[in-house]
Amino acid sequence: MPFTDDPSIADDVMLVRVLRYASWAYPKEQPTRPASVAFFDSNGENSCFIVNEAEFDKLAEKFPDVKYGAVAAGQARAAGFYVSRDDDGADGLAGHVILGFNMPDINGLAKYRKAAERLAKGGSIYVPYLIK
Amino acid sequence: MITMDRDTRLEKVQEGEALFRDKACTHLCVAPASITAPWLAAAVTSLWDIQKSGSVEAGVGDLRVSEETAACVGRVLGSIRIQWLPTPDVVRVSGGGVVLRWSLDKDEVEVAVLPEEKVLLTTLSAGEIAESYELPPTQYLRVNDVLNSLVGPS
Repeated sequence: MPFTDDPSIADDVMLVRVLRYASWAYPKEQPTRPASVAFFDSNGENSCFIVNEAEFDKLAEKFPDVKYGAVAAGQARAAGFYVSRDDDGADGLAGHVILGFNMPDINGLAKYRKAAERLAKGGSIYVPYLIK
Repeated sequence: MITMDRDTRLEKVQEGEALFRDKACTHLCVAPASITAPWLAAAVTSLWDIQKSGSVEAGVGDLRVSEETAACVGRVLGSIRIQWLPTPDVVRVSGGGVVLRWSLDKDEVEVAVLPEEKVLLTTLSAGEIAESYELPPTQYLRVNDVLNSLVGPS
């Protein structure tokens, strides 16, 4: 079933994207925000997590030493993305959502690229509090 | 396997001493790409590293880059006729894509190669997108125009 925007995820809900590679953060030397490539999944479906539901201890186990790029759901919508729950899509990791982009038929890829740029620029780096 | 178009390989042959056609291929195999375009060797090495690694990672996405997509990146790289360029960043994007990015001062040229031979050429100035458009396979040579604008006349 195709993903659609889930209005139950309010605009002020914070979402994080696992910045799997250093190049997914900007600037590379001392990142202050996610890079646009972090929100440029080739299929238009970017895996993210709701901050208040994500289990950061499990994420840290799975992705040690990664940074997280944070955006608000409302920012994503304003940039042209939809936000949709995907509980089964992350191997049991809680709070998984798809931050997706429906590509228009005309200049769809260019519009997606611009949307990713806009979203990334409004983002920040999220540092979870982990009890060791 | 990463391939470049035939014209590029022939250019490399022509830059060296005259060769008989049957020996040209052997000559090409042993000549390092860095002799003709230092940036190209670095880019191809990075592409190779990206293609041989990567897996499906739940919570992030499909980080594999297929042979077809890597070959398409190779064709884009092989269509570039400029010898001296900054070494591009070669970045993996989830879903099987690769982004090449050349930066010089505040200007950037970015080529995103996504599965199914979707290629997007984007130019940025001071972090703002100036232009962004798709390139069909017959127009990869247009990358030369924007890269020439980036580095200026040589």
